[in-house]
Amino acid sequence: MTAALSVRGLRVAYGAVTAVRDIDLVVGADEAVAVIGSNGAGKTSMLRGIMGLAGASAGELLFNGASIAGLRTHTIARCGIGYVPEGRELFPGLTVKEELQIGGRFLPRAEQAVKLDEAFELFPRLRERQGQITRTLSGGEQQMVAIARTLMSRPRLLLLDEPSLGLAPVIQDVVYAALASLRQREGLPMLLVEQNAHRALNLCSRAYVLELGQIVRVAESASLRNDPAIQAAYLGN
Amino acid sequence: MLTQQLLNGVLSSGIYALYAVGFTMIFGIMGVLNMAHADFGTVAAFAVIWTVSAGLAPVEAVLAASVITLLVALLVERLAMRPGRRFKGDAAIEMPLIGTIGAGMILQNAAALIFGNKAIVFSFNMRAFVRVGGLLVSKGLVVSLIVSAVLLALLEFLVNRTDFGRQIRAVAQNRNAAEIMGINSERVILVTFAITAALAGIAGCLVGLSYGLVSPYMAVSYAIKGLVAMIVGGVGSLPGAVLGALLIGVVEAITVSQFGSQMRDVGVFVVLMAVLAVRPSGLLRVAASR
Repeated sequence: MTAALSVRGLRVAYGAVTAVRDIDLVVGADEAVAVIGSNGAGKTSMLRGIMGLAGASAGELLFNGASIAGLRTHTIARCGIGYVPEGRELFPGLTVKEELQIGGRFLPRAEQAVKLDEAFELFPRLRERQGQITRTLSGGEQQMVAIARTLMSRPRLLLLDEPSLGLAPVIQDVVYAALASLRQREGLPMLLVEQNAHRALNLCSRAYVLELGQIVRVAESASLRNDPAIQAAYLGN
Repeated sequence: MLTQQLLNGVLSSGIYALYAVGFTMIFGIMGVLNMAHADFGTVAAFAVIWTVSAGLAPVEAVLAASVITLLVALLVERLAMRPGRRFKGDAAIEMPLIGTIGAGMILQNAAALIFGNKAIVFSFNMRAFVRVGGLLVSKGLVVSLIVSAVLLALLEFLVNRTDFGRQIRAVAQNRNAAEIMGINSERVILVTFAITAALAGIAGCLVGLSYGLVSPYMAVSYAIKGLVAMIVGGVGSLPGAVLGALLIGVVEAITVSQFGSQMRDVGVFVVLMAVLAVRPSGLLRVAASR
C-alpha cells in the first residue's frame, strides 16, 4: 500500500542556519507516527518544511505517491494534508463557527453541516462556544478549534505540532482522547510532533527520535517506551 | 446656513467614504498603505474623458475606462506592492509605501502630460441644484451619496456574509493560517486590491459627476481625506471608515461655513489630532489584530 507520506532527504534552512537535514520518514496509509525530541531539535521546522512554510527546503516529499515538493502551502493543504500548527494559528477576529466554516469551505454545503456536527461531537464545548470570537477562548478551547477546523477540511493526513503545549493536563486528556477517537473511528493517518513523549508514544504505533535536526532513531513505540536511554531523555524516568 | 453646510458635508462624505474604505481594506489585508489608491480615481475619470472623446457611447466608454483602470491598478500592485511581500519587517511596509507614492506621482504626471495641467470638464455632469425646503441640494452629490451607500452596503455584505469575505478576513488576520487552510492568499489579496481600485475609480468619476471638473492632481486631496477618515474611524474597520468619512465631510463643511474655504482642511486635521489624542486606535477600533 502507498504510504500516506514519504519524506526523503528533507533539509530545511533559515538563511545560513540549517534547522533539519537528511530527514527520511514514512507515515503509512493507516498509521499514526510520532516525532519526539527536545526543544529546538527541529520538529516544527520539519513540519513547516513539509507544508511549504519554511524559508528554504529541499528533498523528496510524496503524499499518497504524488510529489508535493515545491508546492505552495495552500495547494498542499488542498491536496489533503491537514496541519495543526504549534500555537494554533487561529484567526483572532473570527467566531468558532466561522473558523470551522473556513476549514470546510471546499466541501459541498450539505457535507459542511455534517462535518460541523462531527466537530461539535468531537469537542462538545465548541458547540456552546460557536458564536464566540476565538481570541477570547481559553488555550485548550483554541487548540480544540485548531484541530476541529483542520478536520473540517476532511484531510487524508493530519500533521499535528505540539497539541499538548501549554495546556492543563485535564485539557490535554480531552485533546488526546479526541485524537485517539479519530484514529479508532476513521484510521486517519497522523504525523504527531510532540515534546510530551508519554502522550505521543501512547497514541502512535511508531516514533522517530529527532536530535539536533537529524533523525537518530526509529522504532515501535513499545520498544521506545522500554528503552532506558529514551526513558531518561524523554520520559522523565 | 449651518444646516446647508451640514447637508453639503453629509452629501460629500459618500465620495470620501469610497476612498477611505479602499485604503482601510488594503491596509487591513496587506498591512501596508497604498498611496496610489486615490490616483485610481483620477485614472478612471480621465479614462472616461478619453474614451468618450474617442467616440464611444457612454456605456461602452465607462466599460472601457473600467478595464483601463483595472489594468493600471494591477500593474501598480505588481510593480509597487508585490515585491514588498517578499520581505519581512520594516522593508515589507516601507517598500510598498514608497513604491506607491512613486506610482501615484507617475499617474498624476502622466495625466497632466496627456490632458494638461489644469482641471478639465468631465464628460458627464450633474451640477444642477434643486431647492428642498429652503436648502440647495446638489443633484450630483445626492447621486454620489446614493451610489456610495449602495456600494458600501454591497461591500459590507461581501466581507461579512460571503465565503469570499471570510477569506478576506482570514487573510487579513493571519495569512499563514489562511494558507494552511487552503486559501490562496495571493489571489485573495489581488481580488481585494481590484475591488478597492474599482471603488476608487467610481469615486473619481463621482467627483467629476458632482463637481463637473477633474484635475490630474485631485487625488492628493482625496487621498488625504480618505486616509484621515480611515484613521479617525479606526484602521481596518469598514464601518469606521464610513463614520470617519461622514465626520470629515461634516467638519469640513462647517469649517468652510465658519472660517472660509481657505481653512477647509484645517478642521479635518484638528479632528484627526483630537481623535488621535483621545482614542488613538480610532472611533471604531478593529477587534481583530494582525
